[in-house]
Amino acid sequence: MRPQPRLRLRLLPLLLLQLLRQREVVDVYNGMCLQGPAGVPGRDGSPGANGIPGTPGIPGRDGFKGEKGECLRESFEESWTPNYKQCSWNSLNYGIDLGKIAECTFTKMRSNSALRVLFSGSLRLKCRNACCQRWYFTFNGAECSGPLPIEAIIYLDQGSPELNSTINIHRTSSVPRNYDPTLHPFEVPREYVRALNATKLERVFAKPFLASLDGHRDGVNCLAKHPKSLTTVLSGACDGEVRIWNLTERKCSRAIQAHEGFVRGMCTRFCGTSFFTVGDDKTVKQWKMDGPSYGEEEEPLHTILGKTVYTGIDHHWKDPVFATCGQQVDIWDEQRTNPICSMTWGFDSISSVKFNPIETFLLGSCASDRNIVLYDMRQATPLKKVILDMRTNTICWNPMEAFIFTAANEDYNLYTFDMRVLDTPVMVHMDHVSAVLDVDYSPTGKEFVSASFDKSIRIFPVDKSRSREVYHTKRMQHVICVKWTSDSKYIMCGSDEMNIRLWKANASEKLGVLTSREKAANNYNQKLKEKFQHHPSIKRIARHRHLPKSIYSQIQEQRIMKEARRRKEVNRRKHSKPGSVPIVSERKKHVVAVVK
Amino acid sequence: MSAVRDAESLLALSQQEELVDLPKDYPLSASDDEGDSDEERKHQKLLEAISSLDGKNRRKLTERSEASLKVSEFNVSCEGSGERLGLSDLIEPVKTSSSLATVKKQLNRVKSKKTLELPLNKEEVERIHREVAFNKTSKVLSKWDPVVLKNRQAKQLVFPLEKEQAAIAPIEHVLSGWKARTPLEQEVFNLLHKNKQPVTDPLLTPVEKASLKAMSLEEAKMRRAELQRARALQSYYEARARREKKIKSKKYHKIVRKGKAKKALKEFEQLRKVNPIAALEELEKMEKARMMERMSLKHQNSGKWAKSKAIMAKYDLEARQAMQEQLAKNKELTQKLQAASMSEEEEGGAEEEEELVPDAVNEVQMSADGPNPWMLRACASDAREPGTQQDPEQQQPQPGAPESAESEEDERPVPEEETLLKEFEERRSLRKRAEPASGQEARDSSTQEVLSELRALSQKLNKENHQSRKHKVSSAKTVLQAEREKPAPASAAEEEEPLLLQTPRRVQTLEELEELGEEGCFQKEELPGPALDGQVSERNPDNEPDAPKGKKKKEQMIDLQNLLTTESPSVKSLTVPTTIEELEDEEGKDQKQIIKEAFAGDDVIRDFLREKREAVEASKPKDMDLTLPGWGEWGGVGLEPSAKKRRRFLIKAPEGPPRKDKNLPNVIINEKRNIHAAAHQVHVLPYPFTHHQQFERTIQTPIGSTWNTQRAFQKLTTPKVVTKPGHIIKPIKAEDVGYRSSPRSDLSVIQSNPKRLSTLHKKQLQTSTAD
Repeated sequence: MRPQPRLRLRLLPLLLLQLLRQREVVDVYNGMCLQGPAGVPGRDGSPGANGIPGTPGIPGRDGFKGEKGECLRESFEESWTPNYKQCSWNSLNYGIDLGKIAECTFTKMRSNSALRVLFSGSLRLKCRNACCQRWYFTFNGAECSGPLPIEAIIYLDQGSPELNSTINIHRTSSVPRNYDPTLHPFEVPREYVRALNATKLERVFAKPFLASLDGHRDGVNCLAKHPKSLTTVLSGACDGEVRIWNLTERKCSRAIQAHEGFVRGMCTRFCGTSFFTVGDDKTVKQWKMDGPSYGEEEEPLHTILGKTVYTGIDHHWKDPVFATCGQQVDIWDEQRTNPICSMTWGFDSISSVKFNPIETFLLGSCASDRNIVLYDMRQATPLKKVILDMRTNTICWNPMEAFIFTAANEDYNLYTFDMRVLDTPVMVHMDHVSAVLDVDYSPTGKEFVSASFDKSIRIFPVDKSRSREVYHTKRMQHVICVKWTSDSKYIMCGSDEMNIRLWKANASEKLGVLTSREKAANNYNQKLKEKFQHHPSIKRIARHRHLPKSIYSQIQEQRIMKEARRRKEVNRRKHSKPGSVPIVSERKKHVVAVVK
Repeated sequence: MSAVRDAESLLALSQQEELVDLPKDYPLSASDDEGDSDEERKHQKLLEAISSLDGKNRRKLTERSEASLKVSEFNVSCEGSGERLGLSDLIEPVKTSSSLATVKKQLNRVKSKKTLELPLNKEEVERIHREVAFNKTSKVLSKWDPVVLKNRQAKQLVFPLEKEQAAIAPIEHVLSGWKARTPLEQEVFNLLHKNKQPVTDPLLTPVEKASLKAMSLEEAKMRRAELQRARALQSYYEARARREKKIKSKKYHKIVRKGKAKKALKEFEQLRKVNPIAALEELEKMEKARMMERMSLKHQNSGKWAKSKAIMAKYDLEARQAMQEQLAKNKELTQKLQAASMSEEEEGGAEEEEELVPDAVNEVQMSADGPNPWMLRACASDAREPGTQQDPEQQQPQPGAPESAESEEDERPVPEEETLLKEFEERRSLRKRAEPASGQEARDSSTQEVLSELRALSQKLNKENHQSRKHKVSSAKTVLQAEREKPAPASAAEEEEPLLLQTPRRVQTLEELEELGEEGCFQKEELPGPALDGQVSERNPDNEPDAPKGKKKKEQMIDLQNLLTTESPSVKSLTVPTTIEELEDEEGKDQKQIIKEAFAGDDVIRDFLREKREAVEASKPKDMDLTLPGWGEWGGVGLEPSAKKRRRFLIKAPEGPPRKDKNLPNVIINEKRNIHAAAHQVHVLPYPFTHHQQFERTIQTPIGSTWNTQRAFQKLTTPKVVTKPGHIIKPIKAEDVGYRSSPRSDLSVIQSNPKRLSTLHKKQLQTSTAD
């Protein structure tokens, strides 16, 4: 019986309050219009089902004791607590904002109250051409004008990068910028720091190794690119096996036992339908690029039996002609079993022959008697011969500059020649610490990659004498062949330990599709690195590479040797008659003679 | 030697062969000329012989020759005889028989021909061959030079080089294989066919295509914009005209009319200046218009409106005014002729005017004011002035009467001002007349007063300088003046002078003593004096209290800082200059003088001192002012934060370590170099730059989007080489860069080129061997 009075007591103030409210309302509206008769009270709604009571949470730990508060003047005024109402929408009218987007109703109850509108959210704009969009608030259907309208405007210019992407107003780049230099001070230090960070990040992200293709049962002796397909690579091994690889799947798609003994050389036809191999068994074989159909045997299209061992082969870039080398350079028509012409100069085994990709009648070869010979196929004659200090293993023509080729030499260096001026190389590239076995140009003609006996491959800019990059892994042995892929993004190398490795040409490059912002940031970082490349701390970080101990110690050793040689020469010059010990430039030092 | 022998045997062989061949050819070469082919064949044989120079072949040949001796009479050999077989030996037996005349002839011809030259060595031939080929090839290759250079210097290279032309095939070509299948499609196509719409190709009718081609898109756009603009303007003008037409306000229209009239007048003036003939025409036109106007009764008061106004004019002010205006207009119209004959027809004109004036108005005037003496006078004095301007408002008494009467109606307020001005003027003139005497005196007196004051002041100053010891620093110049006036007292008062002022001055006096003869240089010597004095006195105000101390003590107190400024007085000051010293001095002096003359303009020492002072100031750590204007108080333009605030938020910088050049008066040590920063700085000028400024400039120009507009940023950060992922980059081709590639394929060249030298090539070889 007891609880009932208590309840009533509790209810009373509430009622009173309500009464007060009503009176107020009446008062407010009395001034304006007459109050109509009270309506019929509506029916009661059906009560909703009770929700499942939640489990009480674990009480949290006591908070830290707060700092001692400051004594402030107490305000005796009544604190003003605004009422607020929030309207929120999730992905409002995405894409179709014409006319009224959304409405939120507030009813003004008192004459002395005011409405404060806050908007937060993202406004996006997407369009093809330059476009402009404005969003604004209306109150009772009218836009407020004084002191200023409440609005948001996004304007996309034709040039802005966000034009074709979704724009976010909260991003600084979409808001017009003030480029006043006084507002953005310290431009050099800031850019320097950015450059430093970019350089560091480049080193952090430098992970060039992509994949290793294994399957060969002997060292990989030669590689060939497919002229029409980026995903296909051919490789020939020392056991006479030829494999065709699919790079996207990183799998071998076909294996042929092509020769007895080494596969010495390999080249694809310019159209990509077939390829040629030469081996230690004195044969030249032409194979179809596509595998044999079911039931067919794996057989070469043509086989040419030669008198001597062929050590290299290269195909013409346009015509059905190929060249082999061995004791002499032979030029063959694909349809004939005898060479069209054979060119010799001296008697020594020629290790490689290469067609010039631009002026396609030119050939270059290198023989084991330390010389590089150039041939003209049209006039069926050798042109010139240059003799270097040591044997050249291969040469490679620059695919963008008709008269430039690079020779990979046994004396650890690479020499870039202008074929018109053979007595001085254009550039001597040195960084390897053992014989350079192969070289291949990037299709852009700006860089080349070299494979060396020192178990590393290096990337050289054409116009620099020092390498920009060195790639090595613990398991990679003497690298015998190397190729730069036709899209200039990747490098492949085949090495002694039977693997073909796939590398990125740019160690820290991000693969895959880049957004425009990523591209812009990347370009900016590149430019920054280029701009500040001479600053010592940036240079140090950019140049830093980890090297295996063997290479590192050899570099040190060679540095000492070089220094000693230099010192000796200087001393000799000092103690002999002036002019009797001439200063010979590094470029001229290595060329023994040019034979006409 | 062996080579020579080889060659000899070769020659012999060749002759032998020739002989052997000859009879075989006989029937063929019955015709007298021996063609090239014959010769070539022989040459071929020769070459074969050369190529088969191996031992085997040779033996074989000899064998054959031996065998032939027995069998054939043609295989003649000189073997055994031991001597060479000549042609003459062979011909000898032929001589007798006449039947062999033709053979004889031929043989004779052969005999007359010279023997072939010894062919070149094989290696030599090959070398020449190679050289020619090389030259040719390098010539071919050098066509690539500009391309290579361009590509090397290109700001951006985009690979692959050849542009894939996006072949825009019309949709009808693409869909040629497509056929309508569903009933709906068929229906649509039927409809189209009925309307003779082009369905497949051409999608556009020829006329449409031609029209498309006729004008480019840009042009069309521009043209359309122009047209739009013209239309907009037209509609705008139309609207304006309509609006203006609707305006009922008379005032507005009046203003417009007046404006137009004014404008026309102005234009006319302009025209008169520029083009008198046109102006005359214009004038005529105007005259005609005026005449027309005059002929019409528009501005007479005979109109309906005028009559009504005339009635109203009695009571209504506005009506009266309107009346007035019309009358004025009338006057204006009718007046014009008078201008030509001013003085003579004055009276008549006036009469006429009076006649023209409507009665009603006159009545009004009379009734309003009666005869107005002012107006009468005005009428009398100026014919142009209408006698009927007698509004009550207009008839205010005018103070500057005689002059202002001339002025026109509109300029009524002006005369008042003018008169006032004149009054002033007069007064001024009066004053001026009065001034010359008194003003001059006054000025004189005033200037004199000032002068005397100044003099007094300076005297006072001088006195103070000499007497009181406290105000020593007042002004060095005055002091000097005083000194120059009376050097003796100055030297007398030396002891009382402060040290720092004293030393240089005493030097001066000493110099004076020395250089009594040479007065010319005195002034030059003097030049730095005062300035130095000033400086010194400024610098060491705290030294002044020490001034009255003993002389010896003073000299020891020479400040290190002033070492530069003082001119070693110790030698000269005390002793009286001896003759030797004087001589030496004179030599030195001459030198000094020359130097001084040379560098008369620049004061190096002072410049250096200033520089050093500035350096010291700059190196001092600066106080930090953290005051935020407008924080806690009002801020804005012209409002400074209060001193209290500033004092509170000013962080005093700690005194830095003493400068290294503190005790070195003639040295500035730059302490700016930061070792920590040096580690980050470039020490050596990088390769492509030739001057450090170039490098600095490249570093200083920011490339980020923070400092550059979006487009500039994009331009600045374009990468040098751009490759498309997944695209094969082919080697550069001649066609890519606009060269014609070699016409025939290399293969065909090879096949058509047997390894034999053509005659042309031979010639080339000859020339190259000659070189």
